[in-house]
Amino acid sequence: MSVELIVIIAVLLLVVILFNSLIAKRNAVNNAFSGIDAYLKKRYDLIPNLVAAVQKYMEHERGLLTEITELRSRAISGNISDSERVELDNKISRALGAINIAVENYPDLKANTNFLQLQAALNEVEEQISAARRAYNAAVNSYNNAVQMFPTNLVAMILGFKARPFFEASETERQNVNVKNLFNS
Amino acid sequence: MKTIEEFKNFFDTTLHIDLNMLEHKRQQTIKQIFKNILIYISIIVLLVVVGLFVNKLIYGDYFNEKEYNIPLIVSIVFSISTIILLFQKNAKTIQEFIYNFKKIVIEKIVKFINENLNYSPTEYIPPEQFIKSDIFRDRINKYYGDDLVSGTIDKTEIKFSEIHAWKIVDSGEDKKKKQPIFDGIFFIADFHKDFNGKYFIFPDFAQKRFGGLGKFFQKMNFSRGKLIELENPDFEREFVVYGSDQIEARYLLSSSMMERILKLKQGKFQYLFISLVDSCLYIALPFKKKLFEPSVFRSNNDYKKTEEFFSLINDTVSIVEELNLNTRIWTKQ
Repeated sequence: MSVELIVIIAVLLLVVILFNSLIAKRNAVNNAFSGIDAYLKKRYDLIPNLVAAVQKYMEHERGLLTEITELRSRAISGNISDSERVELDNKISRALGAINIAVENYPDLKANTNFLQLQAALNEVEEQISAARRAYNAAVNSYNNAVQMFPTNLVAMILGFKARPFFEASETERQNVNVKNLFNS
Repeated sequence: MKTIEEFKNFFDTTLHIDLNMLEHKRQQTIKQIFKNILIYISIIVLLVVVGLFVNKLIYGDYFNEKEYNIPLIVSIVFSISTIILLFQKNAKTIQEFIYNFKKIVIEKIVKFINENLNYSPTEYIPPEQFIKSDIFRDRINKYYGDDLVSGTIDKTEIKFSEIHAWKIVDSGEDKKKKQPIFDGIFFIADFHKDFNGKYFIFPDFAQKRFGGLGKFFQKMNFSRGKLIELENPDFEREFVVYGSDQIEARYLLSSSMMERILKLKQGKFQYLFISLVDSCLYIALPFKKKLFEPSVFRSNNDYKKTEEFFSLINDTVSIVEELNLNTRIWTKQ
């Protein structure tokens, strides 16, 4: 076997390996994204139960409950863009947070086992969503490194693979944790 | 969690009295050991003398080179058996003292730390649970332990004990050698979140020593599931995480949990081998020396030594608080 042939085979093999590793990384990103989706769906499923459990008690927060029901119906309707989806999910997170705060005014509700179970399920799903987002970001980080670093960036350029954006906390979510503002207001 | 000041007070008011009483017992134990030695050596001397005399009666000499010297041989056999009996008797005397000491002192320390905890000097984590943790995968040939502490801290069930596990390996030319798998404290707690997969958090030796190359080999190691790269760089420097599912791993190892594990490592336990299996948290804490053992030939009526016993148990029990295992805001109650 001539040296040229060996070199050609070696280069081809390298390209195949690089190509496969890129595809694997891109699939990992898509997979992680669908992971977030799965937990968001789980959260949508919990919302009607939550509304049913709290509406008997929460007379003054009717508007909040109607809002969260509407947000949920829009989110599961299907014909919305990704950015709208993210925006809706952020709004749902905020509404759920507001309900959690309002619950403090209803001692009877806080003692209701059915509600407590729901609250635990919601806490769980919130943490699972956050875990899924972190897993997505880890997958994106690994994929972006491959897209931008030599030699995989050459293969990525040929295939037209582009770096993906990270999942970042929205502006409002960031503001929510700013305790200083809370005290100032 | 109890503080050192609280323990000092407990030592002065309660333990001190027990230790005084046990100091008396210890001196009695030493006397008993020397008494045993004296009695048994007298028996041995008597046996040999009788053997020699009977030999002289039968063969006309204390030792006759042309004969079998059966009476002398019999007396030597009996003497050797007596030596073995002496060792056994003294070992039993020492064990009784140690058992009594632990039953009084260690049990009181355990109850002082938390009323809901129980202590047994002779029991230990069964091998099935040690194996179930999947932290050590070597085939175990010898396994024993002692000092089992068990009970419930608020909402979390825990148990831990000292464990020694070995394997037998070939050391060439038909020779076999005993090799330790694990020596130290093995801790089990009910984890506060439900999960399906298996997760391992081990000290990161490879990446620390070999940098990027170490990480490459970690990625290639599929025996414990996927390599899980977490976003906390300090945590990543100290630990390597493997597991069945990327999302579930992050659900279990939340940002605060990573911080807490890191704090545990930086504070009290240098090496932590953690696994999360079947809704339980398993932690192997390696220690070279034997733990919670009082000495027989030196006084135990010593604050520093007792504080060591206390600190080790207190630190192990406080893992529950340090890792926030009593927070039950998820579906698992």
